[in-house]
Amino acid sequence: MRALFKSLIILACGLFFNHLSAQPQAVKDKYQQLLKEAKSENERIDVVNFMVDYLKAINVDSSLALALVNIEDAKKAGYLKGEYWATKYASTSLINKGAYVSAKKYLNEASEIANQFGDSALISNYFSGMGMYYGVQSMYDSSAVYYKKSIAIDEARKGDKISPAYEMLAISYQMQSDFAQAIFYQQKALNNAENLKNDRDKANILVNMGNTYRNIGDTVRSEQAFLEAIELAKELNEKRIEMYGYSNIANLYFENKKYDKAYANSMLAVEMAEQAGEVSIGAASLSKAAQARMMQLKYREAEDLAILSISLADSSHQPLTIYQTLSTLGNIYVAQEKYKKAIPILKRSLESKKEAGFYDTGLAQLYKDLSLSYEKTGRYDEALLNYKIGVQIVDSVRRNENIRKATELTMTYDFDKEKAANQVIQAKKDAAEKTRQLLLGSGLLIALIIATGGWISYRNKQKANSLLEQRKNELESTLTKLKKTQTQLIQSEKMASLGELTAGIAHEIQNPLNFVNNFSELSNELIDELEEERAKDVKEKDDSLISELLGEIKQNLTKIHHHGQRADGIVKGMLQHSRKNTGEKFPTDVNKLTDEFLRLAYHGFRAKDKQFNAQLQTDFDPGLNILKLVPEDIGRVLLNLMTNAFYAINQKKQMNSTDYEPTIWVSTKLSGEKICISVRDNGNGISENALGKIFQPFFTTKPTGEGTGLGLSMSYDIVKSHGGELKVETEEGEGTTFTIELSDFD
Amino acid sequence: MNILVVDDERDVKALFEQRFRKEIRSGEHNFVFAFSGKEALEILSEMDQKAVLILSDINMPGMSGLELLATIKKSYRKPPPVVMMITAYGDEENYNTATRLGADDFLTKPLDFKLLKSKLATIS
Repeated sequence: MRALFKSLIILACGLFFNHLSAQPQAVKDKYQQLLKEAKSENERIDVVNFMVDYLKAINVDSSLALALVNIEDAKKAGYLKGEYWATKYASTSLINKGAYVSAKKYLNEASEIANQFGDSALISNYFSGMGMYYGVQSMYDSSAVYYKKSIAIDEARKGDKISPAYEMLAISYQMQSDFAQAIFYQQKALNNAENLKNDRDKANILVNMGNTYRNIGDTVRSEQAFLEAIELAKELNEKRIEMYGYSNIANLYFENKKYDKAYANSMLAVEMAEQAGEVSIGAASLSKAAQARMMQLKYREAEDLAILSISLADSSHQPLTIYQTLSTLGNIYVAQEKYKKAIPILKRSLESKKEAGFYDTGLAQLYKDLSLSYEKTGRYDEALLNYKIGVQIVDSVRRNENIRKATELTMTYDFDKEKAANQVIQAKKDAAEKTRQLLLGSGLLIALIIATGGWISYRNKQKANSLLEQRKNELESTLTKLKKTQTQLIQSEKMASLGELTAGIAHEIQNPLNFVNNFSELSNELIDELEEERAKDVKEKDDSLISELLGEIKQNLTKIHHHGQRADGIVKGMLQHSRKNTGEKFPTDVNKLTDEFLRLAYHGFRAKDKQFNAQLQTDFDPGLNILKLVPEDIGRVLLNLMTNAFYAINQKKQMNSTDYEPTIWVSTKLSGEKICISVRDNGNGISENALGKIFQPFFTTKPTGEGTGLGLSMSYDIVKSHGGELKVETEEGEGTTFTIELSDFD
Repeated sequence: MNILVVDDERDVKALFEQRFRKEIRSGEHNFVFAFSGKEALEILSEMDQKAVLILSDINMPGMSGLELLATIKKSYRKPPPVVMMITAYGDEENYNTATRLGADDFLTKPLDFKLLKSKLATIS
């Protein structure tokens, strides 16, 4: 962007030449006349300096030559102020030629003269020169520092020439993608120009504001600003400003996919560039027109325009312009899948971009295009290498983007306020303006820079858009993956707790089965005995024994049935737990469910830690209604809460083995329309720090590998989905109570 | 012989009473039941003088069979009661711990009452 920054500089003359600027011959005549009229050597030097300034915008070399002569004349005359301006203009021309070393030498001299002269206006001017010197070389931080110094002086002087400095500071910010700051200073500059009724400045500022608005995506204000600038430029017959207006509005249209308008305005810009002798802008505009045609799939025309733009750019010797035109041609080749042709063009483009020292998303895109071209031609190593570089650049550029977005909204609001306030002040000032204008006229020397960062910011924007699109797609696929993973996680959390359950289940099933076996075997024996007794003679028969035996058989059958049911319940519970959730609610005996899961949790925990033991206290409210719920879900919640409770008391037990009775209280209670299931432990409690996070997924205080961190988070979701609440009370060192509150509505 | 059976499963009582009906009737054995380790210790302190055989499950809420075993073997100086532990099938760890704590014999679940009876016969 440096070359653009440089090439798009408008070095505007003051009012002195303003009305003549459209007619070079008239200017020359006026110049000759003023030279004759000059009453002293100093006055003559001033006149020459005005001419130097005027020529700066037309022919850098003749401006420079004239300036160098004038420096010597001013020295001879001992006219410090004249020497200052000639020196300063020389440095500006040298900057425009890219001769930075020499430019710096003249700036240093200008600084010495300004300080010697002790004029704050000159010192301010010197600072703004330094700002430009750094800005053109893309050193925006340093540039901003100098512009701010210049502004500080001007504001203190209550000078009226602040707007150019504001404007240039804004450009510095714009170049750094700090658009909020850019608009802030542009607005200041615009207010200043309006107060001074300087339409030329105003037109320039409007072009820049259009760019800034475009950068923050405010299409309407952007278009408005450009159109206003073009209109003003036509009235003033300012070809350059008109050219910038066209080239920038072309970018805006391009960005909004209005390719015909983009093409038309680019070609208008080319025409203006020809008239103004702006090779660089001409090349860039041709390149833009090529891009518009490319987007319309008119590749033939696009290629022709791009090739033409490259030869024009080459003659400008400006690396950024060369980069732009080359990369456009590269894009056109890539779009047509002519990868072999694209590679050398893209590589050359990359070289130019490096030479220009730019580091932005455009550069990243270049690496990616190159990567794609290598990939398609089977050069995978080079493809990968270039891709990686591209990604790195994107990452670092995106960080700046985010910062920008955060600030721009508030800024827009503030500008509107400030603008309104300024309009009032301006009305008051109007009366005094005219006389001051005349005085200002001859002294007003404005070096105004327009960065049609436009072209580049369009590119940045466009790449950013495609990047965003790509990013969006990536995010969407990530989301799908995440959802899938979540489902898998829930399933594996279930299976993990199922594993915990297995041991408990084995134990729990073994006991009832033993009873079933024993009591059925015993009943068989009892029946044998009964038959033996029945076979006896009537006299020997012991009726009381018979009824005792019958009674025992009946009792045994009851026990067999009871333990059979018990085993059945456990197996069902296990199946429910591992089955994929149907989400169906069943009328459930909450007490029974709770008791079942307490046993499962207890034995499951013991299976992992043989040393573990605990007191289990239960208090089930017999008045509890049958509640419709998803038993496997609530069972899972209970299992989680209980396993956590066991874990807590086990931890505490390991710390103080004596005098501590690890205990768990499980209770159910009907209160009003609510059913509360509480699981209380006398473990170490939950720290305040952890308490806020316990329901967050993946939060766990357990050592790595021991807990998934999903138990409580899932429990919370399950209880919520039942329209209930999961509450926690805890006291550090004393214990924790989790309560499931369910409503007894259906 | 006085036999104390310790198990948290209440139906163990009915089971033993039926399995040992004849021995109970003849007064050969006298069964006492405790449903937790704590209860077992209380009962033991009451039947101090008499010769006692203790049959204890290991998996119990509260005081486990192993803790009970350790307490008994520590606190009874004179000929301590014979303690038989009932372990789950293949539970090596508890088996070893119980041996270390001084368990006199082992039975595995599910209980083989014939084997138990023959063991009781040799003891008495």
